[in-house]
Amino acid sequence: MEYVVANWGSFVGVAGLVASVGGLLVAFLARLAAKSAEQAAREARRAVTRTLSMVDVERAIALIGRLKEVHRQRNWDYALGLYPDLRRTLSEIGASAPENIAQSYNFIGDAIPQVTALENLVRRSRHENKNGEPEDIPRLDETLNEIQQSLETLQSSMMYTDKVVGS
Amino acid sequence: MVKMNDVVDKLVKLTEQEQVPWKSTADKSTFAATFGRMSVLISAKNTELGGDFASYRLSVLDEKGDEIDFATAGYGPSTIGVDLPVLAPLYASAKRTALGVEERLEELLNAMDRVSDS
Repeated sequence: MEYVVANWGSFVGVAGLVASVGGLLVAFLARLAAKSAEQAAREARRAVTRTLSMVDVERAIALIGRLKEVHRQRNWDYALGLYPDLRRTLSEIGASAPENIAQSYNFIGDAIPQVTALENLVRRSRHENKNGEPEDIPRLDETLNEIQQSLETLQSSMMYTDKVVGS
Repeated sequence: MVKMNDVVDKLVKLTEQEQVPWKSTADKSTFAATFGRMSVLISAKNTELGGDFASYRLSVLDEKGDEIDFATAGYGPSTIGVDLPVLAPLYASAKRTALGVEERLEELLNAMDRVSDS
């Protein structure tokens, strides 16, 4: 008992140390939990963005397919209604680009003015050309094919990223 | 219009320094360049006067490809803002860059050298 009384200060010190270590441990665990919750939320946000982009990429490819068909049918007035849809969809894909494959989206910026130029050409032809249609129709589809090819490459890289993330 | 004139001046300067990535489009007389989320189109249109007489339009597009401003130059009363001596050479330079005229001419010169050597 005398020993305890004589060394009371040491006991208090040790107890304080244990309490501090315990507190630090609790704080560390809490931080770890918060971090993994934050990471999970970030992953979820990325997954949602990726899904939305995938939907937009599929929509853009479908719009290009529809436009090529409409060009074949020479339904120019209907095509003029589809070009702005395609531009907006491409713009949405560019805006929701996942960081890890952002490089793949560089072509989107170039594709948007290409669609505007195509649209201007068709609109002008309606008013100025005798038959009301563009002179070089295959060139219109060449432009659309190039955009489609890039979108399909992007789509594959997004699917690959999904598999890597999911595995 | 002041800002638009600044855009034109900068575009002319950068094009002269071969720093603008001009690209061909579906329209043979329109060329496009992208800068971040924005882009520009420059086009030429033959006028009723025929021959080499043309009018030019420079459009600034937003991230959705909608025109937000433009400048035109040419022969006639409907031109806005920019002098013909500015837009005409800008169009010519954009076309040369987009079509890779310098590289093609270099290729032609090399081919001609090979013919003269043989």
